[in-house]
Amino acid sequence: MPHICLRCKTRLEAAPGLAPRCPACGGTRFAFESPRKAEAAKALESVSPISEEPPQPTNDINIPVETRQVEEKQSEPLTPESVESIRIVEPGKYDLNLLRLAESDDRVIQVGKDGNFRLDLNSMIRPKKKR
Amino acid sequence: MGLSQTFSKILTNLFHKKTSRIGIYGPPNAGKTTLANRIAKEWSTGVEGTVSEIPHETRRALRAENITITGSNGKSITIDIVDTPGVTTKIDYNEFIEYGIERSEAIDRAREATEGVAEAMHWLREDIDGVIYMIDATADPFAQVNIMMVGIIESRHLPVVIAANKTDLPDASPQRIKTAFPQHPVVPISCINGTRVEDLYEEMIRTFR
Repeated sequence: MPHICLRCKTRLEAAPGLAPRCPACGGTRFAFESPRKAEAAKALESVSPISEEPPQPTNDINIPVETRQVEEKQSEPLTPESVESIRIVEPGKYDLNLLRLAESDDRVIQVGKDGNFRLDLNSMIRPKKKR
Repeated sequence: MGLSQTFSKILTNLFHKKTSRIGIYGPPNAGKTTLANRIAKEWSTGVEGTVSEIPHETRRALRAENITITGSNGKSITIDIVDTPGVTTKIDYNEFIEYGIERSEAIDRAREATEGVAEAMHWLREDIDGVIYMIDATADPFAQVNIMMVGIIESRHLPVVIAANKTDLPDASPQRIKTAFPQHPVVPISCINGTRVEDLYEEMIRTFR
């Protein structure tokens, strides 16, 4: 018959004897616990406690979680003929097409951490300086 | 155009010194910021950029304005010097990690350097009037980036002076650079100790005036 010490909440699987004392705290007052509740409590104990703050998905590059090998992209190399001006291989690795950057109307003003880059639309509609 | 506007334009032309924007371009670690600092120190107000062995130390252009350089014959030019980030076709944050920089900062530096190169390349379209193209005389002048950049500068019809830097180093070969780019003036210099920098000033006055 399971009992619970009222002082320290220790569960005793056997009923306390005639002169009952809690082996953990020496307490002498116990509450009877029904077998069904005892099973549920045991089941809960076997589950690892849930942290108060569940981890949030993040794009933060500072978290050193990359233990897997990043597969090298087997794409075509960036050549002067490519239409791309900047290729983001991965954050921190960039291929630049100097010819396209010098000749294109696009003006890259910010390379994003998320694999995008911002363009200055105003520069595309400004008349070019005559030489 | 009214009479007062015409008169005002004549006065402006008489008293206004034309300032040319001269961009210092070249691969990383060619000595661009060292030259920009030397020009600023010798001809104007002071030092502008941080010099470092770490590539891409200049990730945003630095500008020193209204510098008047006078040659031995008394002729002079007034310029704004624009020190640009090192141009390259690949930027990899691992380059910075080799210098002991932490991964997250290395990735930020790579991103900033990429933005800086994109910006500097865009300026060749409309903001730059002439180019000092710097090459490390100990490196291969036929590197793809040099051939591409000189080609781009020529296609923009910009006057260019090539500075063959680091002649103080034993394996420097300015002659290789002259062979690679015979169509442009090549001036052998050592920015770090100032050797023949005055020759570069003379060539700048000849080419950019």
